[in-house]
Amino acid sequence: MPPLAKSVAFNGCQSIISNGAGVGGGLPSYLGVAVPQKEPQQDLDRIVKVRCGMQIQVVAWINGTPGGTANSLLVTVSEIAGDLRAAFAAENYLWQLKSAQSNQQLKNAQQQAAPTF
Amino acid sequence: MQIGFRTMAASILFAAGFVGQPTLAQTAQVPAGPAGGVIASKLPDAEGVHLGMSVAEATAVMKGLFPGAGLQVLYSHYLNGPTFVSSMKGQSQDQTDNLSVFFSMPPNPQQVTFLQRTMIMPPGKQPTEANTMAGLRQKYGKELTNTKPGSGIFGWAYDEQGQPASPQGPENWNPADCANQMVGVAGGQPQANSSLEVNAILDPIPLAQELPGLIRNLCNRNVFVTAQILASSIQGTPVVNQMFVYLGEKPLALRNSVAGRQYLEGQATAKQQQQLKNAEQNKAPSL
Repeated sequence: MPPLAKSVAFNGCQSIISNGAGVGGGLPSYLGVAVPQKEPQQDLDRIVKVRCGMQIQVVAWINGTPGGTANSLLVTVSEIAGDLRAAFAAENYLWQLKSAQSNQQLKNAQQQAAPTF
Repeated sequence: MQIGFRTMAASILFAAGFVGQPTLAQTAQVPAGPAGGVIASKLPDAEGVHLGMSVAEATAVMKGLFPGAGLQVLYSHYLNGPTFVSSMKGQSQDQTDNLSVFFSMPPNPQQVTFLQRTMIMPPGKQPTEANTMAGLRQKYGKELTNTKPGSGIFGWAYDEQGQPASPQGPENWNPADCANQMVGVAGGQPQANSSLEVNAILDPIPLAQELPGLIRNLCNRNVFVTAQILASSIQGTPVVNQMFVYLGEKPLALRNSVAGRQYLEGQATAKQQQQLKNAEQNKAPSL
């Protein structure tokens, strides 16, 4: 395992999107909290930046008395880059679905004759 | 139950109950109709029900449009007078298309004076506003330009021969508000023997006092059609969800309404005179 590039603990960087952490930095429809929408560029920039350029994040939580024994250890390993790719792909997929549905609705409307008056 | 005349609708003249009754003595100020009366086929229509049609003509069309239970006939009657058809309501099987027909009231021959149509467009059957407007223009001609712009409300006006008209009025007057201002019609009750009464005596304002205002009303000088379109947007294209269409033969409605009021006021006067005569013929009690 390669050494950590840098320590990221408690530096405010957000973790993966798909566990719902940091909704403010997430993709609303991917998280199921909003209908599919086209993300403005500034939101995409923000979503990436709040991950601090991390690719894989390992966080270890040690619970215990300082200088004493540890009674629990929680280690999370997150593939942030992969999570972002999956999230953007899903968001794009959902947007395309919505767009296709909207196109079909518009096509139907354009082909729909006016009612008989 | 009794209802004021001004809020009422029209009907079929059952039997010969009103034959021989006085009809409208044409007042100079009331808009005179075409010589020989209006020709319904020349006036605007909704789904083939023309303004100016008789009850029998309108019933025939409505039965074709709304067979079976889809058609409801509503009745009214004057106090102690014969029952007449005052309106009809048709509803499509899928309940998305509703057409109401209102007839003027006796003693003049009853005619269609107002039509109201409500359409709900279910998803998948919603036309664009452009297609809808094209259909409306094909049916009713080019819309008036002095209606509320951008409100989704469009208006058309005609004379009583069915020729397009361009009524003008003050800046705050909107001809698209005219078609749905009904006068001289009654909704009625589904049972022909219902107790619904149309009674001018209940109207506190005598016709003579009310008539100048009715004549001044610019809406009462033309035949009007109004369409209100409710739309949502798909990718910036307006798509119609619901629409309302109103048609009103306002001068005919006014003439027949005035005739009805005169008839009822005449009835009331005759009754009063009879009561007075009876009183005068009564001998004083033996003292």
